[in-house]
Formats: sequence, structure tokens, C-alpha cells
Amino acid sequence: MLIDSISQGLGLFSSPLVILLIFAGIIFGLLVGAMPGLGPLMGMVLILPVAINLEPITAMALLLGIYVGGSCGGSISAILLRIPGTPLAAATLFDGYPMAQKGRAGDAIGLAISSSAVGGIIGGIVLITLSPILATFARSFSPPEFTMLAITGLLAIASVSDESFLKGVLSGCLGLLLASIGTDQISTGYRFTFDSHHMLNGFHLVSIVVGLFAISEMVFQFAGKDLTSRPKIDIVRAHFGSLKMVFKHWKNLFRSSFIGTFFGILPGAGGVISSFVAYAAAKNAAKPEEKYGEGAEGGVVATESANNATVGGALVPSLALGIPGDAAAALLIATLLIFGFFPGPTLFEQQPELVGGIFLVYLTSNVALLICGILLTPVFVYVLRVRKSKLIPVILILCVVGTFALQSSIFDLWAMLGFGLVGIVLRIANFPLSPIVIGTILGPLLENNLRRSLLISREGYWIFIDRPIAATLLVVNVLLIGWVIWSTLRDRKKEKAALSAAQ
Amino acid sequence: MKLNRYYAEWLALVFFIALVAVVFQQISTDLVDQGIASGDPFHNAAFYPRGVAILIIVIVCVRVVQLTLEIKRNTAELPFKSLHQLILPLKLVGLFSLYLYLLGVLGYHLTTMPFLFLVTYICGDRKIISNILFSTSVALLIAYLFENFLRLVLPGGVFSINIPW
Repeated sequence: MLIDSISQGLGLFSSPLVILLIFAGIIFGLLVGAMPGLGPLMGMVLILPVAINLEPITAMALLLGIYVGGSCGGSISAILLRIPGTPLAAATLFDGYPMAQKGRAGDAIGLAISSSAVGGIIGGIVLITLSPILATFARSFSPPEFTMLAITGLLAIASVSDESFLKGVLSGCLGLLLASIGTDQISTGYRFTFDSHHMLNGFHLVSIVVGLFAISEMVFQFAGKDLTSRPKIDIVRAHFGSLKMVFKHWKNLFRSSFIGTFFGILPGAGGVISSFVAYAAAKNAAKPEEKYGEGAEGGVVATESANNATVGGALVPSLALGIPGDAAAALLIATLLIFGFFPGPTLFEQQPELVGGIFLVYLTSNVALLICGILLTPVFVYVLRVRKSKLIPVILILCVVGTFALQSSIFDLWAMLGFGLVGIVLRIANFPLSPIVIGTILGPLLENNLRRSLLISREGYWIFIDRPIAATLLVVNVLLIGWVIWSTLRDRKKEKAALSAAQ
Repeated sequence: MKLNRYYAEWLALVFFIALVAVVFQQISTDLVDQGIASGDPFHNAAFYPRGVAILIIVIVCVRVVQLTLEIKRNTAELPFKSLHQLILPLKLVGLFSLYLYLLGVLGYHLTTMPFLFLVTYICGDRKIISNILFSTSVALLIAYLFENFLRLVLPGGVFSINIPW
């Protein structure tokens, strides 16, 4: 099945346009990744309206390129400016910035790019091996299992949200409600449409995502200082010799890549957690003379290989089960849904050529990352000098034109602005936004399977306990909630103790 | 007045309460009128959104209790530390809303260049000539990319202005 899928995918993959768009995606991803405040998700959001006007595999090439490039790009500003371009690169500055201070900025960027590429390839190998097995296993799933799986995905993402689990669940619920707007698939009645024909199919996912992430981010950037200043940075060049340097740390490289892939597979865990865990593991295993935190090469290798391997891991549940590993993977799922493909076991069964094509696109993206990243380092460094006063208006226009292009609808633009305002309020209140997107994607899966489960059940909700896999997932969900409650109470106890000690 | 996350969270909770109110209002009026708000879970289109809305209200109640009993308020500062600092972002939102309105009326080509110019100007970039060049070139370049390469028609407005590239 695996070989068949890849050989069938080769036909779709071997087109000059696909290769070209992989490289274009990587370059764009590295650019948005390098610019503080943007990142891979924002890059994918901006390009999504363009992508959905392409063929499915070319769209995947473009978006996966941005995902891979953007996950690495943040390291450039972390190393040069001590400002991680994305949270994914937060741990890279521990050793990347000291390396730059010692005059080894080129080496540090080269190491970051090379380890990202190798880590991404390792994550890709796991993706190609594991996802068909998972998809085959999931073929036996019926509505009760899918219901529980959708709940697991949502709870897992909410449980690792930055602030609190409850805020994550609230955001997820908002996404679930948004997904229920429009024509009900079962009764064909209209829900929450307010008699507007624009709302018959609900809000377009792109206007939700662009509003929540891009518009709110631009308003936040606008509130910042130094809109017209540009940092003074010397142009730096990386070299392919850094690939050799990376393999000097091969144990660290493989360990960190597997840590990254593992955390990628867990919905919600993501690249930030994996890079910090990989860094901690590398530091613990290192010899004292390596001096982590003072410019150790191993520190950069650990964090960057882990955060890019996470991309491969995040694609495993996304493709095999239709459960997104993170918000960027949710966008990839959304794109496939817009094209009429349903990620999950049926995708592997009915469109093996597309799955194979995606595998090949992903692996090639990591090779393209190495080539473009090393050769074009001076360009990405130069981009850090772009003034925000020029960047913000351009991004706003791209949001408008891209969202309008979906359905030639001004209504979509107003919806985008509305979601932008909601995004601003929620971000100010520290609510995570990713669960909203994931809830919107999982909403139809959850609702349809829940209602179908209750239809086929003769004992109401007991159907979720009668079936072994559904019951296991139910136990996982209960344990997840239990773990969150326990850790919240523990933190509260610690907080109380710290407060009374201070008094 | 100093702004902090504590007040912001109350605002967000009010938003969720309003959302739940809309869900129940729609279920009891529009969905009932259509006859799709009753029956078994499979045929009842209100079953699922009602369930989600109830879950939201339960969590909001828990958060309200948590916020009220909080040991230490989350007074972490926001990017907008005071009401005064909200003026610039509010200007952007206002200008953007005006742009969206005029986009439908006057079309892309008559509105985008002034919008780009004004945002750049508000940001503090006061070089008039360079801003005009920047705004014009960006507006035309984006139009060219979308209309020529992707074959998409941008809003022409009442004058139906579109460039035949």
C-alpha cells in the first residue's frame, strides 16, 4: 500500500509547477518565518486564497512549502536579533544568539537550516511509515469512534493551550458553533443564517482564519512601537559545510528529531513544546565542556531539528484520521476539504495518489529548505530590515484581495473584519485562537457522527461504552480532563504556598 | 485608565454569553418556525448547537467563579497599556472599515492606493513622494498578480473600473 501510494503519487508530483511551487513556498515561508510576529501559520493564511485556485497537489506543494520554511525561518531573527521570528524558534536563541555574538552567525544559521531539513526528513519518514498503518486501523471506525476521536482532538489541543484549559475549550466550542452555521446537512434546515443568503453555507473558513489571525495580528503590530525603524544587521552568509557540522551531533540530531515527531503526532503539543523538550534532553546528555547556553552548536541542532520534525509528526493524525495536529495542519485539512477530499482513512483508500503526492511534496520541501535556506540567507537577513509601516498595509491588502477572490463577495470581507475584532478581544484576554480553527474543522465531523451514533444506538449514549475503541477513547478523554484538573489544582496549591511564603 | 488582561477576560466572557443568547434565541424562534428544533437527535437540528451552547455557559460560569476567587489577578500588561494607546489601532480599524465600505462602492483601483498611503502615513512614515510611489506600485502589483496570473476579477465598484492587463 505504501509503495503503491508513493508510486501513484509520483505521477502527480513530477510536474515542474509542483517543484516550482515547493521552492516558492519554502522561500515565502522562510520570509514570513524570519519576520517577527508572522510565522508559518500567517504565511499559509495569506496564501490560502491563492492556493485554493490551484490544482490540489500544487496547492499542497505551496502550503507545505510555507509550513516547512516558516517553521525554520524564525531561527534567523532569533540568531541575529535575539527575537524569535516565531515561538517555534524561542529555544533556538539560547545558543544561536551567543553563537552570533561570537562572530559565528553564518554557522548558526547554517546549522539551524541544515538541522531543520534533516529533522524534517526524519519526520517525513515517520509520516510515510506510520500514517498508512494508522489509516488502515481507522478503517474499522464507525460514527461512535469518530465522535470520540473528534472530542479527543479538541480536548488535546485545549489542554496544551498557553493559558488555561477552559479558555482552550471555550475557543474550541466557538469553532464548533461557527461550523454549525448554515444549512444543516441532515434536516436541510437553515441554522443561524438570519435570513441572509450569504450565510446559507456559513462563514467561509478563509475569512474566519484570515480575520482571527492576520487582521488581529496587524492591529497588534500597529499598537507596537518603532513602526518606521529598521534594525541594523550585517548581511550574513551560510554555507553547505554546516550540513557536515550537523552530523557531528548525529545522536542529538536523531534524538531531537524523534522527540519532535512524537510531539507532532500528539494533537496540540506542537513545535514549541518539542523544541524545549529536545533542548532539555540535549543539554542533559551533553558534556560540561559543550557549554549549553553560551553558543553550543548542539543547542541549535536540538531545537531546530525538533521543531521541523514536528511538522511531519503533525501530518500523521491530520492525514490518517482527519484530526489536525496544530492550527497549520488544520489549514491543510481545510484546503483538502475545500477541494472535496476528506482526510482520514477514506483519503488513503480512495485517493492514494494524492496521499503519495503529499508525502513526496513534504520530503522534497525539506530538501528545498536546505538549498534555498543556505543559498538565500542574505535575502532573509535583508528582509528583517523591512519597516513595519510598509509591511502592515501590504499584508492588509493581501488579506482583502485574497479573501475577496474566494467567492467575489464583499460579505466575506466584512466577515473577515468581524472575526478580526473577535480575534483582538480574545487575544487580549489570552484565549488561544488555534482551537477555534480546529473546532471549525472538527465541527461537522463531530456533529454528523454524534447524531448518526445516536440514530444507530438502541441505548442512547451507551453506544460510546459498548464499542471497545470508542470506550477507550472515552477513557482517554476522561483521563485528559482529569489530568488537566489535577495539574490546575496543583498549580493553584503552589501559587497559594508561594503567596503565603512571600507574606 | 490602565488596561490589563483581567478586564479583557471579562469582556471575552460577555462575548461568549452574548453568543449563547443568540443561539438560544435562534433555536426558539427561527429553528422552531422551520420545524427542525424537535424530534430525536438525528432529526433535531437544534440538538447539537444547544449542547455546545450549554457547555459554553457551564464553562463561562466556572471561569466567572475562578475570576472572582482568583488569588492573584492577571494584570499582565497588554500591547495597549492605556486607553490613549488604543487610538492608533482604533484608527487602523476605522480606516480599514471605511476602506471595505468604499471598496464595494468605488472599486479596488480607486480605493486601494489611498488606503495604502494613509496607513503608511499613520504609521509615521511621512515622506509623501516615496509613500505615493510605494502605494501606487503595491496596489498595481497586487492587482496585476491576481487579475493577470490568477484570472480573478477585483471589485470594480459602480464605475466598473478594471484594468485590461
